[in-house]
Amino acid sequence: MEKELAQLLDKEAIFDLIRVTAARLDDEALEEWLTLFAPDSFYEIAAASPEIQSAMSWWKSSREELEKILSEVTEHVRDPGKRLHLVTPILAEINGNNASAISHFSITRTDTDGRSSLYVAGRYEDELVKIDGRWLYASHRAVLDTRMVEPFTHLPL
Amino acid sequence: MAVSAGSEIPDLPETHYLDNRIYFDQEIYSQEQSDVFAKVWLFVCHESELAQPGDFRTTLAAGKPVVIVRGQDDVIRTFYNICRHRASPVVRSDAGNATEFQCFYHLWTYGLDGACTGITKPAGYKAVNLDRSKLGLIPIRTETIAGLVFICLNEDAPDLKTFLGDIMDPLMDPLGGEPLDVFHFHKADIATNWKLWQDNNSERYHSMLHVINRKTQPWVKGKTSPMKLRLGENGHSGYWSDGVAEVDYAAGGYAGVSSGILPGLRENEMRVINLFPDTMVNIRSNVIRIDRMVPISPGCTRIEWWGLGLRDVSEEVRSERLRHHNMFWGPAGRNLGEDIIAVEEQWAAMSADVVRYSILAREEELNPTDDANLRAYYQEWGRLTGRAPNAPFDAV
Repeated sequence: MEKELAQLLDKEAIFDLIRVTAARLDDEALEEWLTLFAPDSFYEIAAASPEIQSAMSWWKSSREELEKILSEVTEHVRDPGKRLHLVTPILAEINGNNASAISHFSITRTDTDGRSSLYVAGRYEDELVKIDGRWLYASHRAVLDTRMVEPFTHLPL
Repeated sequence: MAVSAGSEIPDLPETHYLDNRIYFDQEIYSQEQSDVFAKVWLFVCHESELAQPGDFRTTLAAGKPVVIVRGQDDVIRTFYNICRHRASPVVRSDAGNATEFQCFYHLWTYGLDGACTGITKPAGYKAVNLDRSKLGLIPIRTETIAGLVFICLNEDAPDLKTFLGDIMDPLMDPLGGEPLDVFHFHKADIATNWKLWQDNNSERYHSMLHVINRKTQPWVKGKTSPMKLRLGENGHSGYWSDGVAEVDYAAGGYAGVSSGILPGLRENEMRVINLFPDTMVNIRSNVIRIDRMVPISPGCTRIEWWGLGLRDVSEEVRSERLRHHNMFWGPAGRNLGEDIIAVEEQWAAMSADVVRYSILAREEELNPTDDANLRAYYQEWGRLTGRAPNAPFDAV
């Protein structure tokens, strides 16, 4: 019973991490978003192309690279649209201090006139590691169903 | 101080300004499909996408559906992707491999060479002696250069080599020296006129828009540079250096992205060509980006982006060039998003028709921010459409 309770608590902590991750991006709290990653982790946006019949990586950066890229975000000319994540954690498989999780997500975009539309849809495929009692991403992958993304953003998804 | 009205004709040579209505007028847009896109050679894909007999790709050219296929005889051919029976599409997927093409509607069948090889229930046509040998898929001229596959809907146009002139010369080694593969393809429908994307790809003045270019390309802010504009025939242009002009990745803190350099290139070298009317090939050391524009309406353009590199390289090199590609040109890249925002907001403001004219008047002895290549492009546009780019509604 104690073991089952610990598993439930771990699962809830992982689902909580996934929800908080989305909220950090919506708030553009990028430094806080980075603290959700383990030291040797990476972030990726993956997609597929039926035209070249191949999977693709649209963005893959280590935590260190992310730090530099995100620190420069405000230097760019950027899409002024506001993005909002809708995330549904689906499953988490826990094995000691390691875990895998899958979540479904969609992101809406609201333009400067207040029009909202669906921006992208896909799923997060995450590997997690528990360090000092806290679940962090070893890898956080946004695997897109959407292939036509417009307008582009300088932020992670 | 007197301020001129936006509709006042600029006090400039006629070649040095454009009437902005060429970017949003429906009649001009429609004419471009027939008098530009249907008249010249158009890039459609890389031959590595058609590596095996039976490999095919579908796309639109001049608004028409086409299928490009490598035959059993290894010849790359193109056909209108339209069945001769009732004009349904014969191929319904973006890419794949086929031994024959069969229309899904009434199951007429075609060989990879376009010949009509089967008509279902043929006895029904006996009374009228329907001759299937005359009912093959309609062919389109197809030629390749340095691995790039081009098609031309115009039977009377000169061959591809004549159309391109010598503009491809600096790309022959990087594109044709060793086998390449396509590692990236994506597309987006953006709210702008197709020519504004070609302008953005051609003029270097806008490099100042990009923070990453300001940091890494010394010639963006400088007056002179070994990087020079090159004016080709038929509206084509380019941008490369005969001397040393390196992208200074380290200055931006982005070093370590250039291994696996393409044949004939120096380390950290850039070469760009802009092919009339709708294609850009942009090379940075180890990675090639190709843009192709598919006009959807005056204010909507489908842009297709390819990323290519050497096929026979290590995983380490692949990973490095992917980072290089995605950093600048990926869908979430540093430069591409800025360019899209620029041309979308430009088109929206331009369509208000308050500022009637665009100024293409920079003369800098072909230094990168000279407008000479834009002027040459629009001269060719004017020749094909029969309209003066600066006065497109005046009687010709």
